[in-house]
Amino acid sequence: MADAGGSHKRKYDRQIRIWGDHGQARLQSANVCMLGCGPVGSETLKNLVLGGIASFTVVDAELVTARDTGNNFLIEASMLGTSRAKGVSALAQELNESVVGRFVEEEPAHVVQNNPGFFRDFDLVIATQLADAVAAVLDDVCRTHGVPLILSTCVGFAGTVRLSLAEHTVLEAKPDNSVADLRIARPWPELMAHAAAYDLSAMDDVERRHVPWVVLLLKHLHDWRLAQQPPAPETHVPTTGPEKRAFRDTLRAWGSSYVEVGHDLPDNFREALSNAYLAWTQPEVPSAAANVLSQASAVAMRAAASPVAGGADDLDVAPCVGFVPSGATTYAHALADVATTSAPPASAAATAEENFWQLACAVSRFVDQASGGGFLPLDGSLPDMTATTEMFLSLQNIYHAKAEADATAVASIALEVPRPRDRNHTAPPSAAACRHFCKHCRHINVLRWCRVSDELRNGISTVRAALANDGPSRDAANLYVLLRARDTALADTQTARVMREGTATAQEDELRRACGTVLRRACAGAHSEPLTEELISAEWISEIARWGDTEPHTVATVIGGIVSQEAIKLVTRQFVPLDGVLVYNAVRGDAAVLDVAKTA
Amino acid sequence: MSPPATDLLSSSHLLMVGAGGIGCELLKTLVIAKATRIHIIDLDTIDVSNLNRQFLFRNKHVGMSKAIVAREAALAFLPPARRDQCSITAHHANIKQPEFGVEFFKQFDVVLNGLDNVDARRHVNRLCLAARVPLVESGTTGLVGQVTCHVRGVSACYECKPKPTAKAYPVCTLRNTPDKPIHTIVWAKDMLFKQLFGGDGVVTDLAEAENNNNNTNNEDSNPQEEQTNADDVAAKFFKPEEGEQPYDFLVRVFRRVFVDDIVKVNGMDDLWEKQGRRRPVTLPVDRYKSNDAVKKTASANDAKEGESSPDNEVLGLSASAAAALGYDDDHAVSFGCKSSNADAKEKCATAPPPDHDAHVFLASGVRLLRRKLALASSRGSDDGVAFDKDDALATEFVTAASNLRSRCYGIPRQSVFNAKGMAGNIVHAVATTNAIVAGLIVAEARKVLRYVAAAEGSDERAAVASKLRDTYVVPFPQCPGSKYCIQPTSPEEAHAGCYVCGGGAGGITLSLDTNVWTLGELASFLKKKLSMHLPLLETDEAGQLYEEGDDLDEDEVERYETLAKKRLAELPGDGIVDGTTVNLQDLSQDFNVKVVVRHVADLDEEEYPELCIWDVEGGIQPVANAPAQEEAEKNDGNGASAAGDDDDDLVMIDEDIEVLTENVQAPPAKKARRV
Ligand SMILES: [Zn+2]
Repeated sequence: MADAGGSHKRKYDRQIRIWGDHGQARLQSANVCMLGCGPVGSETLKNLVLGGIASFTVVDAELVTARDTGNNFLIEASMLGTSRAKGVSALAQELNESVVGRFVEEEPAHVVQNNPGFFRDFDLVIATQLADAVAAVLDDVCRTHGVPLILSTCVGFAGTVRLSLAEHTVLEAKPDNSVADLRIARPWPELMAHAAAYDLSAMDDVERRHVPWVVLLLKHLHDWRLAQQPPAPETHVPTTGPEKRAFRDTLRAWGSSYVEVGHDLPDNFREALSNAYLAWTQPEVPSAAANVLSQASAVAMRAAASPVAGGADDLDVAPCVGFVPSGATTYAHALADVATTSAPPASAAATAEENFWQLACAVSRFVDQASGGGFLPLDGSLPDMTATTEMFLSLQNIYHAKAEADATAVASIALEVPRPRDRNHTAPPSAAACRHFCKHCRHINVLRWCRVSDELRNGISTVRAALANDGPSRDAANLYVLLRARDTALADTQTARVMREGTATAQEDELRRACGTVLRRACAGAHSEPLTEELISAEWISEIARWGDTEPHTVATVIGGIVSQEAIKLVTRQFVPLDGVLVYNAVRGDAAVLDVAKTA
Repeated sequence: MSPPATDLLSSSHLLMVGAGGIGCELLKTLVIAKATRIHIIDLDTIDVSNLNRQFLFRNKHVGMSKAIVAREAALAFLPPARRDQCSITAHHANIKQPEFGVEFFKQFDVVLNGLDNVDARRHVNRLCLAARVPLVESGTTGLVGQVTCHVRGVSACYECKPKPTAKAYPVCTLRNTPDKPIHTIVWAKDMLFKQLFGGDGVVTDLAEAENNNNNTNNEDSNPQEEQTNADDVAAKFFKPEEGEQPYDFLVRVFRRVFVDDIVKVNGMDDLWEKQGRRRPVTLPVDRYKSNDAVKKTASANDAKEGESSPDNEVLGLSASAAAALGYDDDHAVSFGCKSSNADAKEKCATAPPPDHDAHVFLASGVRLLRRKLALASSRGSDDGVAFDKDDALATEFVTAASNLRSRCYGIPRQSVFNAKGMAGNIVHAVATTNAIVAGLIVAEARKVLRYVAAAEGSDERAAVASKLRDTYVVPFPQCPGSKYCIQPTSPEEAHAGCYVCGGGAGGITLSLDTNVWTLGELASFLKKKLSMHLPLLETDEAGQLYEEGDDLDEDEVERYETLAKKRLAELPGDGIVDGTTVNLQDLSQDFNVKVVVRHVADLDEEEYPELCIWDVEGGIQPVANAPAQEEAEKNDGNGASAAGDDDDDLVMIDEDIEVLTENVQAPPAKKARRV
């Protein structure tokens, strides 16, 4: 076991550097179900197996055709005429001996409709090329079991990706470019006192050139307030353009007063100038975090009252009985179950995530109380800057001490927040977990997706504006409507035959008619202008009709990459996943997200 | 709007440079997309840490050539009929080798880069320009990636925008006044490790340390000669004496670097309080030195019993010493306590057991030394042990040594995981991003091939040219506007002053002390800075002064060697002095550039660690705050190797994507520094 752990660490080293041990542990305990293993399904599978999920189960009833051997990396020529699910599983499994592979030779739609309990024990279900109606049923099933779902369709040079689950909370959003929370506009007393203790006029030149820019800004802001007529209160900051300009000018003049005429400003003053905007940047709660905090109390209370923790969606659907689908064969590689079943370490990160709503509720109360003063707990980080080691360390200590005090305050508030009943027997979140939560709380997020059935009802009317305006989302909206229309046309036996076997013109006509149908359906009952197929670009209609059910490998590579990326976000609970329907347009080479999957 | 009716991929000749993370994805996508003629070049062999994304490779391929295994794997999954039509030529070789010159490049319709370092990218860029072959360039870091398109006459070349180069640390900081973990890690890797385990004749700044400090203004006696002798003495100290046991040797080294040297530097009064620094403290060596477990681990050999060949001995000396000592190698804390109790572990992380670093230093150091000796005896020459980020013992030693030094200086210690990342310039990499990027490369390559196929000056060519794009992949939702970012943008325009594609328009000014720099130092600096392969250096006044290449005759070699030792101002033809123009040429890259030298004395080493000022005329400065730059800065330790050496890396992100609050102010041009 220890050995396997060591070699896992080496094998996954490069990605552990992205999501850490706890993220990797989550990935290694994820059991993924893959419905359909055409090019997109196989590409997705490949990426997830390489990443080291615990197991995959491929559900697919197709037999390998000549076309598969040409466009699917997980199909070999020798598999012609045999089970596609079996072939893909075998090759996918070869990619990573630590992953358990299984397959079920059955039509995905059939499993969805007849054996809903089959999906209960997965950690993630990914469905590719599923008809809309089946996707809606699958979505209901997955929500019943609390299993996240990713849906993806690829038609020629267009593809969509969409996530569906009741709720997903993100603690480690890992934004690329977060501005440090330094509280320069609203310093706490210790920080203010620390800055005040610096007397630049009493320093020698070397010392003065190493006063941290944070201190320079704090002092300058203080002086600026005193210089106002009448002197401004402690919360006042430059707000107008002229005020900001004047603030910068006087800051520059202050720095220049210490150098000879014609010489450059000292580095620390230059840094202060380029960060001057922080003097009037209020330490506000970012909107995503504010959204979480505003509902934290209600969600935490509900969780405490309900026997099942978390979750904002209704969970009262009758449980399904799980059973293995008839005629299914199960394939598991002999080498498999090494070290994949071990649970993630009981680290601070995991505890903080498990107690997300309780801790969010505590943070929300902290913000409202005197201890927080309207601000989030400080994360305590201080960027590198020109300073002497002593100066830097003592400033860092001020920030650390405040962060620690805030985290302690949050921890003691957390004790008062009612806990979900199923956790009453476990210990409350540790100090380390509270610290972890506070460190990340500026970027916490909660996402909720509407049901697929709701999207099918309302999606098109949601994109009507994008359809009518010549904006960046117009192509995406066109494709969205067209894919819906295509699905409608294929759902009917008669029109489906035309779509598959008719002449090019007949196919286009059928698709255009279907566009009309879905658009009219979208406005039924609405008081707005009716939508007609005239809105849909003729060019796109002919493209989609022409592409038929092809999944070009190059397109599948990109879509499969996106699907697996989103899968990893869901499983590791890191990064913010996709909250709408992504439409990839391979002709233009871009991807746009349509806002049609959020809860009302 | 329609995709092309006939796919040019199947009739075109493609060159893929790199068979790593992006390369594997790309090769698979190309052969499935029915490409039939592909050359693939990669110098690397397969490592375990590639297997999380380089899916053409399996465990059994570890140690084998990436290019060759990738070719076989890609062919193996094609149907037999297609396999016969598909010709993949694999080169397990360095792209800089002379056989891959301009003539070689000319046979291709497009070059697709899946490279891992700026140096090789620049080399390929120059050959593409010279051979007039379009280049599709790519890179990924974590979840971020990009594909850019470089077509002469249509878009910028890869070097139009200067690339962030390796960060150099002032030697005096590394040697005397480190204040960040990276300083002690670079010291441990590029000075201590290299000095102790490097090959015969290796002398690092560690051995030079004390002499330089005393000799600065000593012009009387021959300082050069004296220096050389002093270096020899110092270097000798770092080799085991006749009959000295490896363990005793390591203890002696420990005492030297963590006690004696610290005392010495502590005595340089003007370095400390006056500069706002805390004085370093020594470590209690006697407390660590007689630990039986450490001695046992150091002397153990995991080689298979019964086989005592030197090769077997070398193999047996690669396992982790920390693991043998029972120290837990967690990503969060190095050499911690083995405990399943999370709280105990956490305590261990915040207050690590004081002796573990020292134990690992001694045990892994002895094993490395023994490996070096075993290697030398099996090879017949002492080439030493090179630092390899995937060598458990090497990363352990570097971590332990840097943590010990950090303790002397009050710098936070690092886990093996972090230290390995910093020492090895490791770039985050995952299959998903590489897959997306590979798909985008093929899409872009198709357009480029249509451009190439269209007649010069035709409307069609112009039409295709207008469709070329640079594409950025940024994980949702960090880019405002279009939310999930697969974001195509028009390619950058060529920079008229580019010293690579601008036809000699751009000039470079290099300010340095012409009385101190030697020609050899100048040549190797320029070679590295300009990513040249075989530089030739001349001035109008003196003609050729320096040249590298295999075809030089003995007289030339001797002449260049003599000249290389001379100070710039002392060179023939009035020397290289203030205002001299140096003409640089690299025939292997078909690359010429002029560098104007300015004389400047007494540059502050803190401010200019390279002891010169490099100024590209009219050059665009690299974006200081782009995420990619962060990566690039990590790129190198002491500026010793040219670039990161991982598989996929270095993303240049457009500054537009940068999310800043209001007042988009240029970030400070110069990196923040601390004294
Ligand atoms: Zn250029």
